[in-house]
Amino acid sequence: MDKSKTINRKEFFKKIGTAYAIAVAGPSFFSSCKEKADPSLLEQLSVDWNKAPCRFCGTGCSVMVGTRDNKICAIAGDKKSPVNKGLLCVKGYHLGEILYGEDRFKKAFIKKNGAMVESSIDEALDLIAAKFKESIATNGKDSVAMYGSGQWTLQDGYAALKFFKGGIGTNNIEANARLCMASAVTGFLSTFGKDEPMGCYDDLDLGDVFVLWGNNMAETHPVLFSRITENKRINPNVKIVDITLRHTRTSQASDLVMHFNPQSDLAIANAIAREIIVNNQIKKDFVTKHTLFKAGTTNIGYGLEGVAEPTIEDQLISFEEYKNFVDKYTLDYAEKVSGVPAAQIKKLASYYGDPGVKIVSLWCMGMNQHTRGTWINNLVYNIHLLTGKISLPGSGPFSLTGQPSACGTVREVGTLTHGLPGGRNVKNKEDRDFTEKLWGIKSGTIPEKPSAHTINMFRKLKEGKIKAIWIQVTNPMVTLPDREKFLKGIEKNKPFIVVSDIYPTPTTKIADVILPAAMWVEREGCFGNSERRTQQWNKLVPPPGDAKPDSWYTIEVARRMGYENLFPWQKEEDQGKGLFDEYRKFTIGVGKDLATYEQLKKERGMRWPVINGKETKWRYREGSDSYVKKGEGFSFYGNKKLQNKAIIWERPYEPAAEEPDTEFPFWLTTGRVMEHWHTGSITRRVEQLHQAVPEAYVEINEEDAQRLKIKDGKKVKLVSKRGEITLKAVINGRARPHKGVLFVPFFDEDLLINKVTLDAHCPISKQPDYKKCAVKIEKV
Amino acid sequence: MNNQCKKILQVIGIIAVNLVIFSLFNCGKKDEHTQMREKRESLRAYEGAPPVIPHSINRTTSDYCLVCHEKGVIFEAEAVVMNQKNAQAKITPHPQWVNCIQCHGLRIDDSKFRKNKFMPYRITSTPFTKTKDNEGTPPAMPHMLQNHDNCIVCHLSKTAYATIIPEHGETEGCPLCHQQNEKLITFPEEGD
Repeated sequence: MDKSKTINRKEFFKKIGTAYAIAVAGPSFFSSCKEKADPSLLEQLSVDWNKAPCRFCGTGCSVMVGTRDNKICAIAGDKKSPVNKGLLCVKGYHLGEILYGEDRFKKAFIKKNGAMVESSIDEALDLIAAKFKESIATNGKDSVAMYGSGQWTLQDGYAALKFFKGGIGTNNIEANARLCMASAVTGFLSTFGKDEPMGCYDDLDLGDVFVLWGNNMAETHPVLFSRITENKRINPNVKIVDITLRHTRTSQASDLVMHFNPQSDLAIANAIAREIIVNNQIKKDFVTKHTLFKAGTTNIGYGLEGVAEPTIEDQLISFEEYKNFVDKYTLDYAEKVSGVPAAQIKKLASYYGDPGVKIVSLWCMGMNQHTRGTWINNLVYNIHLLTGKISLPGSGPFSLTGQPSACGTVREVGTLTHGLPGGRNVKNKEDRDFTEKLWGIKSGTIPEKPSAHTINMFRKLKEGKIKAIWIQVTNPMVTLPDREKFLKGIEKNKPFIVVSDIYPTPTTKIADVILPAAMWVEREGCFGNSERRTQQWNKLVPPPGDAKPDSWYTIEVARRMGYENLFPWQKEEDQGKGLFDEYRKFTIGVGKDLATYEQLKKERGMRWPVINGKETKWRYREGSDSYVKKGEGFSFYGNKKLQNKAIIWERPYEPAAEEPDTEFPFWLTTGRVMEHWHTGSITRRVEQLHQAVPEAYVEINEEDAQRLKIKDGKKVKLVSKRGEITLKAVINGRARPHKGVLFVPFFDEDLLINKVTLDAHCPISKQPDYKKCAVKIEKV
Repeated sequence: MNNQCKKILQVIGIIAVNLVIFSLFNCGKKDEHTQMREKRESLRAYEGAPPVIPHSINRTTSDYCLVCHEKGVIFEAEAVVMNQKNAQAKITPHPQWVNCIQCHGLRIDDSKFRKNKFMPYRITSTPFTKTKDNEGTPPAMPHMLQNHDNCIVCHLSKTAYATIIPEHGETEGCPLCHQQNEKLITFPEEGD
């Protein structure tokens, strides 16, 4: 660069006068007009910074939110956060923009004569209350439903749960987290008797080997993956093992990449358990003291419509019986089923079996969106229990979650049909009694029987059995598997649909009432992340127009329906703390003890159980978890009736609900990309995110593409028994599926892959399998 | 009234003519500092945001990115490299982080974008430069230090913009003299 030229130009600028410069170059001229620099500009440039957890995934990064003139103007990674230590991902850095899409809802809308008409909030709320009351009077309590989200704040979820179970008296409340982590919950409950991970993110810095079971962490939990790669950079002996259907950005950073056939993870996990037994690597004293063995009903079906639900039972078995069961999962058999070379499985088993290796298993949707989701969760726990590698720093199974408060709100508050706050269940009389007493409501208000899990709730909605539904913070018309089926039924039976959201979506298209929601830092709230960390934030900017928090809307409708006693907090400002403080009472003494609201306001989140103001890093281990008594060593105290022991399960390999055949020869698997959040309704309104991945596409293996003469970037048609979509083919893009596998991301409302998917689900968790169905691919 | 109107019109006319002359004269000759700032802004959602990647890429592994961005490259004048005219690969201040596109977004296509009214934080002026009042004191840092702890890569490397190279050349410990503005860089404690 030629410095003399710059100086000449600056001198020239000086000569032509300040006024000129302001007129032409605007404020930018100040930089070169040094004599005129105004110190007061410093004040104008200043930004107010406050903490908040990120609005996107279940990692729970903390961000610093920069605000000026009541608007967000910048975002920074929060260096004080133990989760992300100052780092974010591309979504997090552009988080501030999600509030400001031009088509944001600012007013309520009511459908009148087929058109959405702007209305006052009062009119909308009166109408919702009247319609719900009418439906309950005519068709009973179970004719109304609430469908919420793992993006609900704790306060939103708690208010909705109390309104439905404690007010109306129906268990018809579900959340989209059913679609993303129900198998994780049933996996935890069946093995440990209590939900949520025993370990924490510290394990990512401390482990020696990280096994990713169908988890493209580099894209779906990028900040956590950077903790692993940072660990590997400092300790070159650290190994990453990627068990995957596609060669992804995660695979690029991995030491061992195991390409497996869909569904065969069940066989791989059993083969690893067998290897550990055969090689005498069982930690005998741990297994004897802290585990029991069980077998359950097999051939349990796939939850398909019109097929009767199976009766699922289980019984205790001996170690010998378990040993005989896994004996058929030889390395050769596992190789045959999974397509993974026996040597690779043996290598992985040796990491698990070596007592000197600290090992962490990580998974998310790959294992949870699985028609045997509960089983595969159990099977990975088996491996950690057999080797005693659990609840230890740097060693343990770690079930990651997808949404910012799937754990905090849906799992802990309990906004599912069977749930009650603090891990309670409507099926247990003492849990119902406790809840009814705390809420001060009539005994028997909460029904004993769960009503409908998400898929059944929408099946009932399409059949006209549910007459009115309120959908908050989620977009089921994009995310429901086989969505056309549901859409057709809804269009035919015309249930009354209320949608609270911030932008127009395919779900607001079917709404009779749209409520404009205040999102994220436009209101006060709390989220709970994957590692049991509860994080609080304050209201930092005003919401646009008439927008209000979901919890406020829920409370206002509850009042109009006569349940005002349940919600004594009149003003919005009192509801954040009020709802939390009441909910917190449910968490004390059940191993989920939350920190006080005052402490959460100060801290970058606290990991429960929080006892005497101190958080818990590793549960179930003496010295780390104060629920474990002195001398116990370990205690899986969720299984009180089973001597506080964890269960090692006999779970066989069973095939997927739908497998490729001659007509539909490809596996279709779906998922996320890093730049988009779920259905894209917020990230597609952020330029830096939208332009990176502007539309959905199908990834195809190069050899398959050559055989079918499919060219990169050209349109192809994907067809299943249920539906079809046309989209661009990508060959050797950011991920390369292995032969016979296709991948399509689900963020694009213009290219809905859920027209093609199947609503088969795990019969235990009721979570659909978005990762496996059979399709054909054709050139267009 | 008429006279007043005429005068106003005259003034407007003069300004307009001058504007045209100035624009013609200055066409494509923005001062270097403004050019640099505009380029910076065009790649960042707000001051402190990670820049998006202005060029096409074939691979997303860090070894691929670091071929150019580890040590920086100045290509020949007017050279078009990876669809960028006058290409110059800046040095990354954090080569240790290997998942580059975790933070740096791609630019593929902007059609179908639903518009956004985000008002970003920008440093449109630099009140930290020398004035009569602060003559002799080192200027404070005018920007955030998000994931930048190595001043040299931007201010003193071979790919540094001329206008932000310090007159005193390389010295150790920049923050010793150049203070961080706490409103811009450090975060207030809760309740402050």
